[in-house]
Amino acid sequence: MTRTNRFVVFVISAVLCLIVLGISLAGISGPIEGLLAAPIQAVQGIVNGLVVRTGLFAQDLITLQQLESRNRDLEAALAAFQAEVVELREIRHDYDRIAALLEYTRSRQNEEYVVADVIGRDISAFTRVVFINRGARDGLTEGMPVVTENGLVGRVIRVSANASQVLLITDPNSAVNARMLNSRAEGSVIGQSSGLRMTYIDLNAVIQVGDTVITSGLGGNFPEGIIIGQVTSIRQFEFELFQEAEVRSLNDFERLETVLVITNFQPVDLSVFEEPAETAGGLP
Amino acid sequence: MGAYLSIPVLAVAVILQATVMPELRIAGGAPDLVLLIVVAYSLLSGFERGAVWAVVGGLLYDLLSSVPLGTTALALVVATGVNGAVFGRVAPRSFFQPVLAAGLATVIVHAATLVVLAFSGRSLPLFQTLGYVTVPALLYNMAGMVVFYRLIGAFFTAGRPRRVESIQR
Repeated sequence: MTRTNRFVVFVISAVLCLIVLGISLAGISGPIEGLLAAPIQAVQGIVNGLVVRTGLFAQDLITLQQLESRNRDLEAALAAFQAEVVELREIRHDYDRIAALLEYTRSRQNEEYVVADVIGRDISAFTRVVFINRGARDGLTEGMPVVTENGLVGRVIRVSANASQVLLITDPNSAVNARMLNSRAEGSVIGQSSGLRMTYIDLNAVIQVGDTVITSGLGGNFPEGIIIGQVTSIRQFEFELFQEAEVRSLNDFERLETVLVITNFQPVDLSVFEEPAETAGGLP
Repeated sequence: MGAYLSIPVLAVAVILQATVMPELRIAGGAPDLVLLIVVAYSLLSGFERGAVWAVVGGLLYDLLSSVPLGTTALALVVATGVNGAVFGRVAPRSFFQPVLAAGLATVIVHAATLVVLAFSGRSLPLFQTLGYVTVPALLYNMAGMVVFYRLIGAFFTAGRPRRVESIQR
């Protein structure tokens, strides 16, 4: 095709377009435009719908991935926060316990204490013994009383370098000389499988439910005035020489965590007085 | 590819232009499929055939746009004519000429459209429009032509009858 022909094609095309443009600008091509555009617009609507849906689907996928990622982050953060909450609760619990113990030690300033954590319990079902994480290196010796802010726990019965065994007052082998705080009636608190029982109470002693039971200090095994518990019931039998009382300790011996060992109390060994008595009988 | 094929091909291009390309828009510019096809075809087959594609593509384009019918058709005819005068026919494996042609066509089409819009009473701020619409579209079309020209060139080559060599016995 020659250059002239090309020019002719160009002019024809341009003139054709100009005519169409002129008709359009004159505003008389509207119906024709609508007629021609209708099928294309219909297809456009369908394709546009597909594109929009595809876009939304892709956006949903991206959002889903973002949500998954965010969910993972939040789960990790939640786990970290939960661990932190547990740790803080534990710290708060420890703080409460230590604060209570501190308050107790302030009320008994003449005594010296070593704070010990309960690190184990006797696996035997027949004994009531706990293990604490303080031993001879901390100055503990056998016989030292063990208390909490809620009262008497027991006494140290065996000591190793770094740990000790504490015989709880609930052990059947435990006997603590005790006194009623109000009536001053004396007796002995012995361990029971179900709790504590105060025995050898004078029949004439007037005791009531709710009376506070404290250590009497007699026998030299425990200092005087440590709270043991409260009377929950009283038993009197005519044929008995003494009356008994059920005592409930404020300590939960199944959940002991921290205890205080009274280190400046040395139990008195009364056995030395027993031997001369036997020999005294043999004296002329 | 004949003139009849231009209608379905360009119709699909126009629909894709109206539906998919807005998703790829950077600032106000998007790749112009119709322009790329028309320019590529006119470079491959010559201005005379390309002019038909320009008219058809431009009219289809205008049917789905708010510009007066014939605006884009006229702009594409002018762009195709200028490209034909500047570059003539270009081999399917060429690289720079199609890219330059796409850039030139973009500028011409946008300028022509702005002129027609100004004549129809819808004048736009020139520099702002050039910066916001034309420059991104220019870059898009020049980059897109690299792919498009190879693609259409492959179709164009495949659609042409091969020269049969004489068989010597």
